[in-house]
Amino acid sequence: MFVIRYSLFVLSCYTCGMKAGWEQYTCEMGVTYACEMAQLRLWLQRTSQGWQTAFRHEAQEGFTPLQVCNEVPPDLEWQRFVTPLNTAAVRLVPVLPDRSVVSRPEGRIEIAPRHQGLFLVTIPVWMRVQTGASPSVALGDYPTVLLSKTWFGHPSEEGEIGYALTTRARQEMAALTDIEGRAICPVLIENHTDEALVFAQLLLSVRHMSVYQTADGKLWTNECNLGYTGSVFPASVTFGRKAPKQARGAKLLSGPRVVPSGRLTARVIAGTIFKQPY
Amino acid sequence: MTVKNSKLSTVLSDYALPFLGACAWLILGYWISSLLARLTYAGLLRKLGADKARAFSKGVKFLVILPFVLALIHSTGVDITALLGAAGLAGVAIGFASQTGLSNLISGLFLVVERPFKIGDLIEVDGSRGYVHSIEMLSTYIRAYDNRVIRFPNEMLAKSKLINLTRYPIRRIDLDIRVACRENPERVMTVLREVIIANPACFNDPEPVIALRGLDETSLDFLVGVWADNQEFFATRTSLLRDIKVRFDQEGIALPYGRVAVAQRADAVHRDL
Repeated sequence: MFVIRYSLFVLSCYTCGMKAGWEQYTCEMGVTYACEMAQLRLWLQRTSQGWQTAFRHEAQEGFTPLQVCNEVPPDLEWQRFVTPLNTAAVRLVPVLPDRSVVSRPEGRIEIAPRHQGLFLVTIPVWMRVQTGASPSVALGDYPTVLLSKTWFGHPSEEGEIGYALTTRARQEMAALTDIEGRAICPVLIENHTDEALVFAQLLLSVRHMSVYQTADGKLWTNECNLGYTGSVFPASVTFGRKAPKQARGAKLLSGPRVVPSGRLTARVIAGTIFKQPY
Repeated sequence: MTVKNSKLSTVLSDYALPFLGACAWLILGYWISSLLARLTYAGLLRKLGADKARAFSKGVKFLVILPFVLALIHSTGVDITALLGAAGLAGVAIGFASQTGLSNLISGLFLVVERPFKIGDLIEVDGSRGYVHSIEMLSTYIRAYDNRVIRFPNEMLAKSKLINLTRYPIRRIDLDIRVACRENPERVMTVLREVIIANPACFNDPEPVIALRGLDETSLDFLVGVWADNQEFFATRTSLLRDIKVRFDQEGIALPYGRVAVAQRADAVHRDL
């Protein structure tokens, strides 16, 4: 059963150019399975009372779907989970990082007065291992890429700890390459002022975003709309409620970690959503 | 016998029963005050923080239970008015006699209002460092790293230089890195920068500081200032020092060692001792 499912999955993934996917697998008891997603190496084993997982991060990126692992490294640190006995199915779900992402474009970006620009920021997803169905049990969220932490704000004033992400902030879909294990986040930045908006960093509250997957295997987040009304005013932040228009027909894979609340979002990121170069 | 019985019944009806009744009221009052104190604490916890909420809840408890205590005293036949007058005079006398306690009390109020720290913060006072365990009316308790509890009178905290190490979510790790004086400073700084970039716990913003701070006959002294999550301060510091040592070993960068220069004078006289 597992072999058939796995073969079909690999076939469908290779036809669309994706090497690893987000699927449900049926696992035999006592057999160790492993997968690779970017820097993450994950091992998974079904036991008599539940599951156990182990992971590590490697510098070299790799993409391999979940499959039987015959050579298990002896020095793994296994973490055990006691779950309902009848759960042989495990599902790998992409979720967004647990903190905001501070996106730093490689070059300076300037948006003309009363103008707007759409940028495509790719965010490395985390891998959530789920077992069972309604309610499913999460066996952990594992970052597929280890991003450095960073601070967005003034050291002694309001700010937020996030993950540092260097991005090319592409504006064309065709320019996006190497998006395996990454979710594309369409960010629409609107400059409502009479001055040009120059920014070096952007805070993306990814905890409020969902992950969708299109038929070609690409991952997307809902659209993030940032409205700039001047440095002394809070920036307005709104999130699309469904898949972005660039990803029509995409299915929802995971919801937001924190359901967006307009008031909360405005308070947390008030005034610091755009960081001027210094 | 009849007279004795009638006296007993008089005592019972005049004092014992009202006293028992007042005791019952006191128990009820204690229960009500505790309930209101808990509700006050729960209601104010998110708005004011644990220390202020606790102070307010204690105030509520005191104010609610006070009438019940007075009722208990009144039930025993004691004149409350006279007692309050005596308490006023006694209060003045006690106040003069316990200036330190009063000072601690007022300092405690200032600490609650000014809020230089809150429960759970890591603070350093008078050479002692620990986490704030509780802020009481007269003193503040701090739990040291080795689980000792240190009691600081509030007056001392109000007067002393106090360092709050966890006020902000981020904190800079300052390391003094010394290498042998024969090493190339530029190369050492490049290696240090690479080590910092490779460590995911080290922030890239605010930017890390790497500076050559001094040099002498044995070593080059570098300051490495790296910002990190305050909650992961010690883990990040340890991992950074480990990474620097491992990388220095890989790169063949030597740490300084103590040197003693011995010179022999030409006219020295050798003697067998």
